[in-house]
Amino acid sequence: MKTQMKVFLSILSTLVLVLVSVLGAFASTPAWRAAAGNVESAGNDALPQAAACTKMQISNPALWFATDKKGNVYPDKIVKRYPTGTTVIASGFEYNCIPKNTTIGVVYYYGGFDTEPVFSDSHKESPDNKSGVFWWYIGYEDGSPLPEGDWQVEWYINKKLASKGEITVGGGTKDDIEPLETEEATEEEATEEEEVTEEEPSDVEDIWDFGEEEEEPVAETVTVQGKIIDGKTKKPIADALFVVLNPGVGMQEWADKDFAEEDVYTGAKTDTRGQFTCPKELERNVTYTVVVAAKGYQIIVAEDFIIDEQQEDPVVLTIKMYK
Amino acid sequence: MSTQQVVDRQRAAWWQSAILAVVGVLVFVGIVIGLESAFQPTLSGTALLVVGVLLALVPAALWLIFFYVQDRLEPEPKKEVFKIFLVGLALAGAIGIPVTDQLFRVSDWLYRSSVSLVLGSIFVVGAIETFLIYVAVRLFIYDTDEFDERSDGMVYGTAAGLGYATALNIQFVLASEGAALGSAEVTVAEVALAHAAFAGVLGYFLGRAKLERERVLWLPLGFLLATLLNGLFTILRSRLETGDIIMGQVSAVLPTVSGLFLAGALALIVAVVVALLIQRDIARTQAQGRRAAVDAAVGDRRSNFATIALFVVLIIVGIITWLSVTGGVTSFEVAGFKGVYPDHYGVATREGDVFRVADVLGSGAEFAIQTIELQAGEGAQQVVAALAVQRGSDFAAYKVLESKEVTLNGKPALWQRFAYVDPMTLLKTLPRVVEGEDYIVVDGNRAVIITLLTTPENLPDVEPSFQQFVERLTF
Repeated sequence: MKTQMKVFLSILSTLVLVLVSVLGAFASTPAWRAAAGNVESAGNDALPQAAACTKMQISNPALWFATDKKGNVYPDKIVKRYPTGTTVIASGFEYNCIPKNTTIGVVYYYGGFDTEPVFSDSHKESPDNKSGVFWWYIGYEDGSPLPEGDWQVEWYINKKLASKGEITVGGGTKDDIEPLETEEATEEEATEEEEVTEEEPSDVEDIWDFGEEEEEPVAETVTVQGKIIDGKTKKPIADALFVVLNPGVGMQEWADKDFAEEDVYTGAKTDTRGQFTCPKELERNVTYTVVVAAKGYQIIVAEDFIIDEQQEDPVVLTIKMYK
Repeated sequence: MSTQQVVDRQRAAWWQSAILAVVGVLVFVGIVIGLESAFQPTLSGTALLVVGVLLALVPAALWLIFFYVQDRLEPEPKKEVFKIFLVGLALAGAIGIPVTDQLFRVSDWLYRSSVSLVLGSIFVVGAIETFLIYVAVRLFIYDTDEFDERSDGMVYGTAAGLGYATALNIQFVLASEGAALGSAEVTVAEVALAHAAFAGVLGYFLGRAKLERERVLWLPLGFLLATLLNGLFTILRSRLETGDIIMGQVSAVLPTVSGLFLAGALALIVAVVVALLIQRDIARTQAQGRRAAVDAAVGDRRSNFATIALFVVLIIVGIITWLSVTGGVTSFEVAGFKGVYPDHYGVATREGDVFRVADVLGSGAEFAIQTIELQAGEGAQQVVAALAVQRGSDFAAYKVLESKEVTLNGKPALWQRFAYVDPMTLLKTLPRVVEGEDYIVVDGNRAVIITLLTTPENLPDVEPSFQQFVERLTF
């Protein structure tokens, strides 16, 4: 037995030594690696010439411009609201000039500034000594109408918040592709507090579409997003399905109905990074059945999925699946 | 010290080796996880793969070394044990894994229902693995003079089982393209310990079959037991590891160890039980005053044939399971269209469709039937153009990759394969490449379009089902 113990310990210690040296060789020094930044360096070469633009000033609150189906933006037409059926919205601002090394960033939100952004992007602009109007439009690739409700925008100049604004989509009819109310832009023109227009119920039933914006306070519904990983390898699972069934519908009932789409409250598929976001928000304190499925993995069925007040918005889930 | 004392002491040490081996493997896994979290190695690419593969070899090596060391008084030739290990590995790599993964495509259907999990685990995976381990021992060592002790069955059986497990583990590491080392090691150790246990059971039966003129059904019984154990392990583990939905962003997910502990316990129990059985067998032989029949010629042909026959029966049940789970179809009849679609697909007809089914919980693939009214003089080419316009405006980068004229159920048809990018706008997920196929059949003053939509990765898997869907469709 003693000999066995010796052999046992010597094998183990040899392996540990080998492992320590191998892993040590590849070890990264700090455990908290710094995230790569993309801040535009002001640079010493940015010394402005006389009469050149040094500081960019933009209108605040942000402006909203008339658009049409094709994605054309009419910067001379400012709108206070977009009609139902609008496929493209465009926010922007007036500016005095654009100095060197200016990066303009835009963040669009749907349902409040405190929600997850639906779109964000930034672009380095060419210097310009003249004033002008700048905008950035968004819309679905497939040209389908944008969900009704309040949309918000934030404008960043070199990562500093410079302007923000809000607008309501909805309240007109689907045929009104041209904006209902257009006005000439003026220097002082600003989007004032919008009156909340009565919303029409969405007639879109596709599970990939946004749900209707509720009249209730934002806190009552929460965005659900997350990451689905292999429980063994911790690797993300692509193309996994995350489905939330309508309250009261259980897995068996759904299976009996051949996985009918009408029973699906919302759902999403993961991308190659295993990430997903449900297009429709979930209500707090409502019991849903959640089904998670991926090819080659055991299906997960949670019949009692509840989001209570403790959970922050958005709720971020980590889902482990096993083979 | 008499020879008998030596032999007895040697046998009594079995359970100690088993405990040491299991503890050694668990400790090693713990060390790997500990070192990983301490150093946070930034291995990637080839380096990660190489370390992963090396680590995949360790549990099997540890197990074999511990048993080899305890067997040092009258050890089996190292070369022979290693040879059987390699045979197990080679049989798994050349036959076992390709048959279960590529032929039976087990991972595609095993988890569709509890019935498919139970039957598939036992009659497909369990039967194939047990049979190849049996083949490794039976063909490569059983009939030689080296196989002359009761414990030899366990030593060689375990070696073959660990070889098989090592092939599975190397495949796992390569397929996961370098998983996190700690979690990967948990899986690797689990697979090694579990296979040591299954193969140990089979080995015991092989040992007794050779040395004690057992009845014809003795060996098939051992084969069945090892197969059932293999299948039951898979089922039990899947009950333990059902998947979790965790609220919150978890950056450091600890590896799940329930399967590993299950495998460790199983390996330990099997080793101890087999050791006790062997001891009992020795004692009984001594009491009866006869020596075991150490005769290479004793290997019973009929017993071997009975085992092979049992395997054939098991695998036939497995094939029936496989075919009924994957090949089952449901009939439909909609607006003059009659046909069948795979059982596990659900009806997902949308506006504008005549009929649509989707593999909602599996590949996500969709089969759709649509019709377009044709004007006088219009043909399939106009439909191709209309589809291009529609898909081109709905999606990005629509492209027809391949197109040819075919005959579909006696009617001329146009077949095309296409791809596009679904931008997934506002879903905040990455754009997805969709690949699909159309069959366009001109039918009087309308065109019938039968479409398959899936991802490029899933296309080869769902194509046969789509072919069946198309070929059995009448209108």
